[in-house]
Amino acid sequence: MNILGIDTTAEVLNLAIINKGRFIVDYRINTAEKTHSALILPLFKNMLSFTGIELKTVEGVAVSIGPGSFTGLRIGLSTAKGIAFSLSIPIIGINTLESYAFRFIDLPGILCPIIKARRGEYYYATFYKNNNNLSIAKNYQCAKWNVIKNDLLKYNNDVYVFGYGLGDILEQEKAEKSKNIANINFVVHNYQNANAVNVALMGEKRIIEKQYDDIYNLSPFYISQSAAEMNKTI
Amino acid sequence: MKDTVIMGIETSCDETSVAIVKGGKKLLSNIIASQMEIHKSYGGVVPEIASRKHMELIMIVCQEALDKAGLSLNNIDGIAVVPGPGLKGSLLVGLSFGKAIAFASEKPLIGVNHIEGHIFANFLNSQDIGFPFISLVVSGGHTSLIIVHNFCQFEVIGRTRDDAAGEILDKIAKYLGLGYPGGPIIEKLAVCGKEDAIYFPRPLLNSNDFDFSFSGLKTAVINYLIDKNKAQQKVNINDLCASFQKAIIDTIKYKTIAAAEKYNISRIVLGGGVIANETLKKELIEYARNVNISVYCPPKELCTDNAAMIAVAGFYKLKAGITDSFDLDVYTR
Ligand SMILES: [Zn+2]
Repeated sequence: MNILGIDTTAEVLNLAIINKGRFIVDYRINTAEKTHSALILPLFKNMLSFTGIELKTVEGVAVSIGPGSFTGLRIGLSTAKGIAFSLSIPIIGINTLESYAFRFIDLPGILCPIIKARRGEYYYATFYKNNNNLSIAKNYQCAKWNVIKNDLLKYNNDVYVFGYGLGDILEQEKAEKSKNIANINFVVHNYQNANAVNVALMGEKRIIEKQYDDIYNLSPFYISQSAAEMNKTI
Repeated sequence: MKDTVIMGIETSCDETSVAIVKGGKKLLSNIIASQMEIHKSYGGVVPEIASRKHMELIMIVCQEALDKAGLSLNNIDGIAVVPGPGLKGSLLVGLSFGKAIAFASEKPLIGVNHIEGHIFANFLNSQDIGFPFISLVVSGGHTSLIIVHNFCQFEVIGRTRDDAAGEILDKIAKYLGLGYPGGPIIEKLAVCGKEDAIYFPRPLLNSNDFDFSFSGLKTAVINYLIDKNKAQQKVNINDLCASFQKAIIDTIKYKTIAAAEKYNISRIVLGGGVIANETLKKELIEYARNVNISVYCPPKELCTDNAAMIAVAGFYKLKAGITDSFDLDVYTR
């Protein structure tokens, strides 16, 4: 079963194909020269021809639906919907933070993936491992690092922080010479924000369990309201 | 080719639309989900909200278009999409979705310029219009004069240098607290007003090109209102709307006919949301008749943004062998 994974939530454009829990191809591009919109289908086409995988053998599309760049989310999801609709195959929307946590599911403690948002804030949530699956401990939020940190310090267990924008947090910690963050561990890793393989793996799991998403109603997971809506509520 | 079925997808501003057209003439379906009511409460289109709405609606609207036409994707011979001009975030939803469908179902992809799309609305269900003709496209986003030599050759001879006609109608209506969209509201009030009550400038009327510029007219109207307010004089809103609308109509009318005369072209083809304005249409047709120029205009529902016009344009481009590759990207202007 070939599953296509799509991650367009950040600057790196990442597509992957996996089959029965193993990855076949993991394709990443990080360039400001061309947009995700211009690159995504030519990349997919290349991937198919390099691997010799035929389009009609793709049996599911898993797409990272955010939080992340609003425009990026929509390019990924619109493309995923077009592909799933044309091939009449299941579509699975994967929460981006959850997909980051899934990557580090075996770390012994609380998992706290982060994604840099605007205005110095981060999207985050906390998870723990539960029978080889992830359970959510704290729901999706958006806050400044100091707020997140205070949140994490309340846990008695070890907490592992990783994700997109971790570099800024490490610098802040260094500058403030923070103490008392004993239970917080930072997991430094390359390409935190290109996670199509894990998105596809999670998608495959959901397809096996027949937990498909409804192609008509699947929407990006924005967390943040648009600025206009925010002003209106105030 | 006569029976070629094209699916058109249009999401360039605040209408999510998918249409299916057979043979470039027969409209099988044209589903338009308007976001007008949402944007009304903000007094104009909010780009991020428009993009989100397109994302919510695109798949539903596409399915509805197929259902209404009684077809499945297998029956479609080509996918026509709009790369621009328009709002970037909005365009990206329709473009990404349409490109992916064309790619995954191995059908030709045809990119259609949104403004050219407006012109093609005239070819649906219609008599044949001979070439060349001059096209006037007026909407919230554009005011353009284009010589159309044939189905694939467009020569832009004039465009707005600042605000589009529909844009200043919206802005003045907003300034007056009348609501959104401005054009239909101002048209309604203008009916009860005197169009020669107040004199407003007709910008660039005597310039030697066919460009438009409406921001000066907008300033003139606002200054008039400020002066009246300072002098504590009452303003007759009906007269103001009639005089303001007249200034726009005159500018568009004279420039368009002058272009037709200069290039010795006897056909004018209209398109765009502002063309739905009955007064503008009537005045243009009457004025053109005096100089033996015929005017073509699509029905009201095809003047505003819709995907049918994109499918029609896609049909003629495909017929001429023009398709696009999958790296087709958006452009905003
Ligand atoms: Zn338009």
